[in-house]
Amino acid sequence: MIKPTIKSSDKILAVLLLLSVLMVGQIMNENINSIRLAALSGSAKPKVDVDKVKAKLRQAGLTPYEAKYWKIIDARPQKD
Amino acid sequence: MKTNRFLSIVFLAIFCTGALYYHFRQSQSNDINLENKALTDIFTGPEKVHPKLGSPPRYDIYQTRPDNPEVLAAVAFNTYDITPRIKGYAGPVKLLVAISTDGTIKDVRVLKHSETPSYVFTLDEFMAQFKGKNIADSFQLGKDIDGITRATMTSEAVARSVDKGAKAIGRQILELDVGGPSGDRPKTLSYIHIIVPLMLFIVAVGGVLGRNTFLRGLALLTGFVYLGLIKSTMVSVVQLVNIGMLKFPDFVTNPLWYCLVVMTLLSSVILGMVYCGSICPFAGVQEVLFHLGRKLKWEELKFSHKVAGQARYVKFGILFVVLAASFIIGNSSAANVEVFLILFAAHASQAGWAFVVFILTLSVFHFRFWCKFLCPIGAFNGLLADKSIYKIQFGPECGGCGVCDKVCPVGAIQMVDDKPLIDYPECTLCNKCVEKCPKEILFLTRNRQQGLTKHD
Repeated sequence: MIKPTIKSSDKILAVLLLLSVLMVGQIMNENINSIRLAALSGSAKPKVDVDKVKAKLRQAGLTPYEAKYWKIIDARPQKD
Repeated sequence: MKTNRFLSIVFLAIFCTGALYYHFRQSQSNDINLENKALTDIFTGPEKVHPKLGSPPRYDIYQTRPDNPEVLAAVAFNTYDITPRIKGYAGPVKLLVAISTDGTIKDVRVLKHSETPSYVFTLDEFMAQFKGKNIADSFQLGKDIDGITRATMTSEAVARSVDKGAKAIGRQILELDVGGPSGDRPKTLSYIHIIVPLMLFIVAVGGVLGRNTFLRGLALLTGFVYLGLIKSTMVSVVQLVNIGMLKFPDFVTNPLWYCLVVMTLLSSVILGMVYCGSICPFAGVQEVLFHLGRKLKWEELKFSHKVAGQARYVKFGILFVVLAASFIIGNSSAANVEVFLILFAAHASQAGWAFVVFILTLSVFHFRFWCKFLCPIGAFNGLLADKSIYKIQFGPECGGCGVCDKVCPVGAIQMVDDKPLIDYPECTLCNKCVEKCPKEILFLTRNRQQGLTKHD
């Protein structure tokens, strides 16, 4: 194994510091974005009890759409 | 010395200008723009939003029908207008709450906050719990609402302000029978959070003054367990920015914040880097990892004095950039880049976790890599330590043997013309130089000013 000399390790330090600064920048960017988008992030998403809703729909004689599968196959459910 | 003076002036200029800019902008603007943005986002239909008015201040939202007169459909309000005294970890959390006329919470949006972003990344999920609830319901944290892990103060502030604000609007404006807000927990000053940090600093200072390695180790261990694991509270740039923004938490609910800030500032001004050297939980983690690396006989990464000395200015750069960015965007959360906050908060994005792993790995190969080159609050403490009343200094009998230079684990001592030059902003007061000096002429004493320091 090659032992790093002081000179070569100085180059390593420069690379490590560059990487660190880039990561700090990325984290700061994420923080700033989280603040900027706070009011418009569509923050409150309802927690829906899917099974409960499906049961109610079936009780009412309807068939629930599985929206997520439409998204996967990049299509839209047909309108009645 | 000249460089440190220059850095101090740059720091003061950025801090003072930034704080003034922030307060000037605050006085010029209010939350109306944010409220309007949130309202536009919530009410996307043909509803008509009337301007904010009344007491308590609120927005009335009317349903518009072509043939009928306008019918009140919902009411929205900024929680800060009704419950300004409720604070999170770092000041008020301002929320816009929209309520239907039947008392159902239609939506809750965050307008402004200064909480730790790594905690608040999960705020969306937390907010979703309020949607669809009736304002007459109970909003007790832990019972009716699940809090955000390790962010109890933020969660409680949100739950209490939604609860109190919504019930006040429900009673006074919508004339609903909603009862009183869920009982507040009685506020009592927790003396333990004053006594423990005080003891911690006493032990740390005892270790420095008595050159006692055991006490230093004990302080580091207690700092790790109490500040890191139990309280997840550390001295950081976020606190510095909050001081500039005059955002202070409630003393009764968070005395630890005050104790840490006051004692760190005092100890830095009197003795130097006591907090960084003997208390910081992340410093302890780094030291343990470094010694583990030596036990495993892994090659240590050593850098030349000259390059390492220059690389230390990176942390000042980070300090200045995060300060400026925080004051410009008006939120201390931008300053939340410190690796120890991410680690001990245990909430982070992928980039955050990658950074933690990166720094911990480097700590195995180089002693206190984060502290030496990157820590922005360490840079600030260093500027205070440079002007501390007591300093490690050497007597005129120094023969220039260079032992102190060799034993200093952070490389804060450099031999120039057979005399040790001490870089005080880097000295962690570990006392290794004092212990090993063969002539016993290095000692902690009142600053005599005649001692040479680095950058002279």
